[in-house]
Amino acid sequence: MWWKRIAFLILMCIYISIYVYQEERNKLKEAVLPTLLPISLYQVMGGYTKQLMAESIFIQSVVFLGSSPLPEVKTYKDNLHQHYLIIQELHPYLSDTYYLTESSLSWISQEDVKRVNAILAEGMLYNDDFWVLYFFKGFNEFHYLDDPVTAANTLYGAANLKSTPKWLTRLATILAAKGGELEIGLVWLQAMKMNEQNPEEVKRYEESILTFKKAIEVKKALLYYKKKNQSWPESLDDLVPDFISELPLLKGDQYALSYVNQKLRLVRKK
Amino acid sequence: MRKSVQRVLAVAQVTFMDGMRKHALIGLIALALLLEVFGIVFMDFFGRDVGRASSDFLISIIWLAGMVFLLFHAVQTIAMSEEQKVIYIFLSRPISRSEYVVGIFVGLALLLFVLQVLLGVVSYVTLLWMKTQLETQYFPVFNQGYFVLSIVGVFVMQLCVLAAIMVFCGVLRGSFLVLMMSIAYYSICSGIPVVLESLKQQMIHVEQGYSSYYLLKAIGMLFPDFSRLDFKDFVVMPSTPMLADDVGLSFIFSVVYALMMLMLACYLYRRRDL
Repeated sequence: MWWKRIAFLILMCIYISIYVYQEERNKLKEAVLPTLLPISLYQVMGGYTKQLMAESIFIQSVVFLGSSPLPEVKTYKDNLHQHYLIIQELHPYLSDTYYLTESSLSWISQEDVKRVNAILAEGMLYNDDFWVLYFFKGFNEFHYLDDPVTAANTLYGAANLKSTPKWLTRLATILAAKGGELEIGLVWLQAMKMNEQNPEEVKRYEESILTFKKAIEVKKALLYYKKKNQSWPESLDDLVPDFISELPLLKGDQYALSYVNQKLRLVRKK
Repeated sequence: MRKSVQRVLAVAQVTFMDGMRKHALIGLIALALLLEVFGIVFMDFFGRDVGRASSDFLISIIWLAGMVFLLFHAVQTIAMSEEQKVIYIFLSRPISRSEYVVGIFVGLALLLFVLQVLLGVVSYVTLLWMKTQLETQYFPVFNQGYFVLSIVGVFVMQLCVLAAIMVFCGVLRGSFLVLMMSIAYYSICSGIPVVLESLKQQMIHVEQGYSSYYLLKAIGMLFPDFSRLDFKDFVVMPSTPMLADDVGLSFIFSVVYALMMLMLACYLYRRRDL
């Protein structure tokens, strides 16, 4: 019987050696994010467990992102996008998907920002009180796509949600002003003032409304100048005194007037 | 009528006791508990929606345990009773074939009920414990009513599958064939809504696929969409957009479907050679 024991020990040694060798080889291997099958297959296969399937794909994406350096994430960006689309289709209520999509894809390129925004917009249809989606989309539009007006509209879209923090709608007015949409910003500020109970906040809104009104007066003067001279002025000083008696002083205010490329903006002071 | 009910209950009791003797429940409960412990490891991957992921996982485990019970224990019990000629012992007693079919169905449904109640209690306690342990942002809401509704949804869904298995046992011989048919049946039930949705898109965009769409709609009456009984999304949802009459109609539809399938199984058993 001794040979059986020796044979077992030899087999055991071979087994352990191969196992350790394979584990070492796996350490050197690059992380791979596979292309998934079409979404309809997952829907059929998932059945009642489609949410669990979405969560498994989510974990696969998290593990890949956790073990891959940034250049590699760029290489797999299409696969990542496909993963997020499938997760969203199978389980649109899972909020982690949106955090992961925003953090892992939006920084890569403008094309990816648009894809991320499409996922966030779809998410808004399912998650009715999830202001973070509006914040992410607005942030992308402002920061990556350089479109403060669209960003302001997106952020203001969260104004009616129950959980939206006050600063988000204020941010919307700041972006509207930065984009030159002073009238829109004014309307939003007036609406926010009407819904505000705190006297200190009401006072802050009143100050901002006054600033916006002053800026709108300058904008009207600019338009009048354009109508009369068929051209835009070089600077705001050209408006004084024929079109406006004096430029409004926004001293001590949170905003400053900016006139660049024939567009008047209210820019928040740093 | 009363005697008939007594006979049905007697067959149900034998089926129930047989299931207990074969440790069908203990094995499945052990499997489900193992999976639940294993699942806790995966919750670490979720940064925010830990409550939702946990609830999905636990309810899916209950569903999975139920499906394993149906596909392996129930199919074996029904089909093997014919293969091993156990059915002759039953039918040599003063009992009709319909009473035999209903009795087996009730016995297996009772076992399924006990399984789901036990796993449901374990999952409920686990979720309640998690809710107290986690901060509100990670597990904001636990709608206990919807949790119960989800479990009832799983149970009713699986009663429909059990009734379908009874029909397949009435038509086919051999447990393997019945198992294959049952898996195919469930896949078709999950697949039809997906294909219908894609055909709907096709109809809107290219104005084609009308005949396939309506054909599949008709087939969908035989293979119902079980997702109408899937309420697990609402267990951790802050606002609940579901309407009570929608839920009620889904349950009534499924119960009526299960009863019709059971009647069909009784008819098939009456007509077939043993």
